[in-house]
Amino acid sequence: MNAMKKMEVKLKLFHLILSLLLLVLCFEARSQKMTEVFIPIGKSPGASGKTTKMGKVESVKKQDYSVTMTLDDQTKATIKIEKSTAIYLDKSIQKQPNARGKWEDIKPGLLMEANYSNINKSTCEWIKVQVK
Amino acid sequence: MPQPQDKVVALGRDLFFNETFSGNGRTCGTCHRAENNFTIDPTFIATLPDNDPLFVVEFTPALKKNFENPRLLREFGLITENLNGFNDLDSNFTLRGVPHTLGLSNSVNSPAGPHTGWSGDGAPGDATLRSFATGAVIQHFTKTLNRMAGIDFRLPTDKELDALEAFQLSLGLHKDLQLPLQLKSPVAFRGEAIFNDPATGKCGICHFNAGANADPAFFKDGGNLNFNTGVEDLPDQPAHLTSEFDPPDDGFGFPGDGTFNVPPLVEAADTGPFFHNNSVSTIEGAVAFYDGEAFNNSSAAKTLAKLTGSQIELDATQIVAIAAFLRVINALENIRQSQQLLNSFISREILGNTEFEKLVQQAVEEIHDATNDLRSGGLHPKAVDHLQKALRHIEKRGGEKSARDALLELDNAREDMIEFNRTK
Repeated sequence: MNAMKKMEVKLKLFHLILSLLLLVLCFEARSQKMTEVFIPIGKSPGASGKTTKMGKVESVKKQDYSVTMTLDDQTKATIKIEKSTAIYLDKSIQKQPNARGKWEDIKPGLLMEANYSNINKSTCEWIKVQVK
Repeated sequence: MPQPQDKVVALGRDLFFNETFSGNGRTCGTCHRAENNFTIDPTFIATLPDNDPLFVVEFTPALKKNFENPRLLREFGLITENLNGFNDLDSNFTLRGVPHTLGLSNSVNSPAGPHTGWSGDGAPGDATLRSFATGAVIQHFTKTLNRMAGIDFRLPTDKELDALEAFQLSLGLHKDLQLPLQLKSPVAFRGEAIFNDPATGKCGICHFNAGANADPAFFKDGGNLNFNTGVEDLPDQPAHLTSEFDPPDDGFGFPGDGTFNVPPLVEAADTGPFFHNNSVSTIEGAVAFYDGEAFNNSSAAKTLAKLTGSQIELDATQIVAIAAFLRVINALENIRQSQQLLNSFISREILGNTEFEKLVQQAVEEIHDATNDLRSGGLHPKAVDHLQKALRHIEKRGGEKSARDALLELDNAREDMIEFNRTK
């Protein structure tokens, strides 16, 4: 029983550390990449085609903030949107200025690019959605 | 390492000074002027004509509001940066000086990732120096505040980004100095000792070998680091003494963590005003900052105190001595650069383009800088005399012979300042 309790405490501690770690990652400084919003989809220097995935949005799962897209080679990729993930709207087709977007702006059928170039490579740093 | 004669560097040089990227008329060289150590300051700005693209805000209606503050640009050399986003242009901006682009090959790389700009986070894309140009075009070259690629500017191509990066990496020192140097001025020599002493000046802990990297003896991985040194807490900052709106600058990241990037010091003496907000105009004042309350209450000072057991305390003579050291190493670097430029002129190493004709003029400017560094600190009058003779050789006759005579005088000036072996 005593051993069980110790194990429980260890598990709780592990969860606490994990939560704190995730919190830190969520608030990781995005750094001054604010001009990124004005760079059209697929044109981000040193990132597009290297640390990004690009494809058509196939489905959006609101429950777990994830987006599945179909890449050029017809494979699927599911992107998890974090609190720290910036969403940019590429409005160049509309000849409108690009802008910051919201989760609700991601819709099936739109072209999307997701970037993983930040220090924590498993967290999506930004996504761009081409608005028609 | 890119050399000045490389073809890619030559293309980068041409782009840096001449390419507007179909924007408002500015080029990289609008703010990073070759004739002013790749930066701008109020004295230099005052020499520019009113139609210079630097003042585009004054004659372009679409940029009249929220692009630059013309008064603070002219009076203090401050440029508007939207580091925390473009949503609220009325109040969400910072005003920063223009950092020089010399010695980037030593400073831009860091164990924490590439560091560009005053807070180390100035680039979009992969955040490298190569991508920095794209961010700069969007921030500073745009025709309107819509900042639409293909309409308000065009984005640099991959080839252009490669060339611009190569050119910038070719500028200034390619390797940090190896301190201590055998300086002949007793004041500069003492300043060097204080600079490097972890018990007194402590400067070398963050500016190892007077560069932009940390001393690996104190910071395990070394490299170019960010610190909050309390510059934002300085009282009576020049821009704050006006009625203009100058919001606080929160440094690296969004929201910012208050830290800024350590700059190299070899070219410090002739690239003031100092710090990210151009808050101190003289090199002596910049050294004195580290003896003040703003620094000593900062998190950087606390880290330093933990590492060394004490805070920085400097008397006036010590402040002047450290500044003298910085003046002398800057003058030595000016001499090195002017010699490199004159040698390129003689051997015609630089590939033929319009910039070739400017080599001698750039050498002259470097010699003027060396003279000013020394004269303003009351240092090395004999070296100053040799520098003047070098200038007279160049300005009187021009051509290869005068360049060779000038090179000899530059060696004489150098010999007056430091123990070294003549190459010829």
